[in-house]
Amino acid sequence: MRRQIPLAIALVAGLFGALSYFIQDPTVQDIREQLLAWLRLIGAFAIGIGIVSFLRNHGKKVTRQVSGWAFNAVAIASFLAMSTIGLFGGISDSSLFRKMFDFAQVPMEATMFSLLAFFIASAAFRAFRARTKEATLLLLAAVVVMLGRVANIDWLSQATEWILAVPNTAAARGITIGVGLGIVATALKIVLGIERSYLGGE
Amino acid sequence: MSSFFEKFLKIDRRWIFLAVGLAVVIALVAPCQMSTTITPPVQIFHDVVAAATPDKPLIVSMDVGPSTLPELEPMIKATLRHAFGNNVKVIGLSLLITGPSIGERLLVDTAAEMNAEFEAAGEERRIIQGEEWVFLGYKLGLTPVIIDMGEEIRNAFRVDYYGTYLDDLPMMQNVHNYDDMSSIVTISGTAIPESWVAFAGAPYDIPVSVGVTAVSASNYYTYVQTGQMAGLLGGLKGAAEYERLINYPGMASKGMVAQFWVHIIIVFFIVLGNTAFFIIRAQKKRQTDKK
Repeated sequence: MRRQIPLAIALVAGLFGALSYFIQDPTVQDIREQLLAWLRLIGAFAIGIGIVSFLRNHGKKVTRQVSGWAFNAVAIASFLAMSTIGLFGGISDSSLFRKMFDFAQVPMEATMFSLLAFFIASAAFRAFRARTKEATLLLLAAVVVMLGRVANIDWLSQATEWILAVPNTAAARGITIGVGLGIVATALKIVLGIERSYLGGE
Repeated sequence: MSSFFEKFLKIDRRWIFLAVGLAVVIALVAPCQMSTTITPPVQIFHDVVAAATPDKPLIVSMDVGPSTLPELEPMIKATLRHAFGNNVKVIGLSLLITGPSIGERLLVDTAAEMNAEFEAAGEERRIIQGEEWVFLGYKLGLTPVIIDMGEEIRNAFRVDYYGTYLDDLPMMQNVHNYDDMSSIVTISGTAIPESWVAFAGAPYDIPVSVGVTAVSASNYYTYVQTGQMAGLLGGLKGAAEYERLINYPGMASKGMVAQFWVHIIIVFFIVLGNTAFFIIRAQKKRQTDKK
């Protein structure tokens, strides 16, 4: 019974969710809207679970003083500081929370991301070697796209657009369709009760 | 000669870092800009925003975080300027937790910047919050929010970012769902644009124009080709093209100079690295043949 009830809920909710997309009856649409509201609530619970998991994982490392535990302590302290400041000081334009976000988090994240330019330059120099036919093809495509994205030369820009719109799109579409079919198959397995790992144990 | 190439292949990466760093700094400080060729996806994006009419607001979903701002901020700014310039009202929102304060800042700054320009030009027109633009802020639950907005925007956002009920905002009086909006612009460094296409564009038949970082732009060409995405701005180049189309030389146009020189440096190192690789390989082969 402990397994059959969740499986039945998954079956009904899954089938209803899929079919309601195509049925325009007002009653069906009302129920669908209610389910969507529930979905948002469940999403909010997921944040709570995330916070508990975050504190438990980092807290464990701090109490056991594993290698690099100071970083875990900083993560917890930062989380608690931002939460407290936001909860009690508000998040308006002039609030400390907003200043912490604008003058601490924004520059830190921007700095981390901008470092990529340096590492990509170094990695490209070391990795792009025409050792095989495939590597040469990749190298040529990369050079054309890199130059075509910046140089104001018509034929180079057109060649770049062709690479992006034809071979790139062909590969990306194949991957997208594959992923889409995988999602449908997994969803069907869950709805029909074939895939039960989300219940735990199996 | 061969020892030079051997040394070059083992070059300390800090020299590459220095070259890239200098190129970026000099290009950004120097007072120069460069022109850029307009590509079809950017032209489509521009045309869709240009086709928006004053009676139907444009949704601008600013699903951005600080890490991708250098590429995405110029796109948002250009979109807002383009819309406001054509008297098109804007509904701003963010479906990414890091987006609201960035989105609000960009809306406030762009409106203030354009108001200053109107004043300098002696025009009476002003871009006023609540009348020309509203900012809805952030709402948790990506997909349900997008679907809810298709039924009734108030189901997803009862109040705006500042706590004002949507019914109390003059601009929102006759705006209820996607039927009352001209199109959607989503600018993001994440996969959120795919959700806009799947849950707003396809079921409600509203054009979805997309702006993304250069690194993820290649994934979206499939959607542009099928028409599921009404135009695409890819990275700084896309933003610079859009700035050129609306005659607003902003940060993207300036940043393209830095990007140009960094790409040239990378290609230079790749070409020289491969030359060294082939010369050394040929020499080693000759030595082996001699033995």
